[in-house]
Amino acid sequence: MQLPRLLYTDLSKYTFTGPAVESGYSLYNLNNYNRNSTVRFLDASGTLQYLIIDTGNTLAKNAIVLDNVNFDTCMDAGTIRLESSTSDDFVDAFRYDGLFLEDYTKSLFMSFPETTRRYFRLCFDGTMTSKCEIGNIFISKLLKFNFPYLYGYKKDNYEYKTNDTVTISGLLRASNAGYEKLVNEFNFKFQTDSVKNEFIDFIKCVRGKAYPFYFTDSDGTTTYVHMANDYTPAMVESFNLSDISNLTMKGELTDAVLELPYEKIYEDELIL
Amino acid sequence: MPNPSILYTDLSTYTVSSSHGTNTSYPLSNLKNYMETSYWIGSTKTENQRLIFDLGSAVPVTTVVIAGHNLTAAATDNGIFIQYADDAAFTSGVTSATEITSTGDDITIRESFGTVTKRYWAIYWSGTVPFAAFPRIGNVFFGTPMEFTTPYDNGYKIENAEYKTNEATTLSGTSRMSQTYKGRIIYEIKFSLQNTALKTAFQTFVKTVRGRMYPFYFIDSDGTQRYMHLDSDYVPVSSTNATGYYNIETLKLRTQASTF
Repeated sequence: MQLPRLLYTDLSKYTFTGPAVESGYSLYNLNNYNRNSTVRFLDASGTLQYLIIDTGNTLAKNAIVLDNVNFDTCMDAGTIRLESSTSDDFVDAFRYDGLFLEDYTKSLFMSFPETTRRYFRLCFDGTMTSKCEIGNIFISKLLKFNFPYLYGYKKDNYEYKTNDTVTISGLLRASNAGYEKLVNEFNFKFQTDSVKNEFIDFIKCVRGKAYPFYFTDSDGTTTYVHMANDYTPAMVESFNLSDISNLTMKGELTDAVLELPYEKIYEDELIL
Repeated sequence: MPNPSILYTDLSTYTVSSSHGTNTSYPLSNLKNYMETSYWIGSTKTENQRLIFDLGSAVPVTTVVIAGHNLTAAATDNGIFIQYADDAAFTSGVTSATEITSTGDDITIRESFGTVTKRYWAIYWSGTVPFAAFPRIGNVFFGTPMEFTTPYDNGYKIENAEYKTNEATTLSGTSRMSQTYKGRIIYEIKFSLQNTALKTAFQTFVKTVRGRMYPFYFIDSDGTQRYMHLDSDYVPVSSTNATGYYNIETLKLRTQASTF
């Protein structure tokens, strides 16, 4: 069982460079945090295409989300690989072998060895059979909680927005807009100063409720959520012991399941 | 004593048809609007007619609730039955699940039987002579109630009525009160230590009724049945310290009708 984690980033700092794209499906769709608005490559039959991601920073990174993709159907044979570099010409490109991106449909979420490299690229090394689509790309460092959340958690409940009226006969009539929000409520205790500081940075990056992020539970299942509140403080109980109470998140379940191919899960991680 | 249960359904999945016609002022669509007092009325009093429900897919059914009916006034000499079949035309595998026992018009009927998993169901008026009134039905739910694993906790509040009163004060200081409609019955109950299966079933229930949106039948341990809405759009299930057990800490329900 892995520890809960979250992955967030500042997409406004990202610059995407890639092959020609279909009108209405521009590369800017990757900067809008909307996993359902995709970029779509124009070329449905070419070979060896690259999508370059300039993250705009040299902060530590160890995970990638590729959300709402059609990698399993856009190429006939070949590989889709991830590479990183310190420069945009990829002279010192490092290939993350073992990440078989071409097998993925819908969503991919996996970790890789930590790096501070700024530039990444997806290499579509094969013959395209349909137009490749991608909804979201996050490349950042996972915030890993020290311990799982406490009992008393509320998970996988849904919230609605209903308007109700009452007729003159007293009958209740209700309507709602048709959307639903998955709501998770967790309490984390005994987090180290390091996690506490990372959490504070996280809140500042997502600006309270403004920007969404990926939250991965202990079983690897992943939700794309916003904070439910603009203020979620970390409370310092003692040296190296902080609580993050009432971590409430609203959003939707994704198909992504966090994979940690480079991490060994030790059972004693979970024991106080 | 059975545990409390909830019978809910998604009426949007139902396709309803009548074998002997419909009064155009009381169409079949009235059976899909969750209102017990908006009726379907048949256009003939001819015996051996069916009101057919295609549930969209084969669904395990143990319970049928019928409300807003005149099954007493439109009684037949051979009885009224809940039937199921293998086809929508009721030509194959036609079987009576149970005979409907009506104790009076507009008194909500709840009939239960062993699990039958079928797609096509009907209310069948069987007879040798026409009946005395055009058949009328307000609401029909087919399904298997979600039964809680225990009764609700002590500290419960049930069968209390809530009102909406407007108050004005005259120049002389006299209070004058008015109400637009009568009271609504409120339940405030809590369920502790429910198992994982119930937790999953309850979350599915909230998603189906979409928070406060759609009503359902709450059936108490003593058999009391109320047609109610959730009072909140967010009714979470929370875990307990015991693995595999969950609490529903706040379950507030209110009746759709305000007639109390």
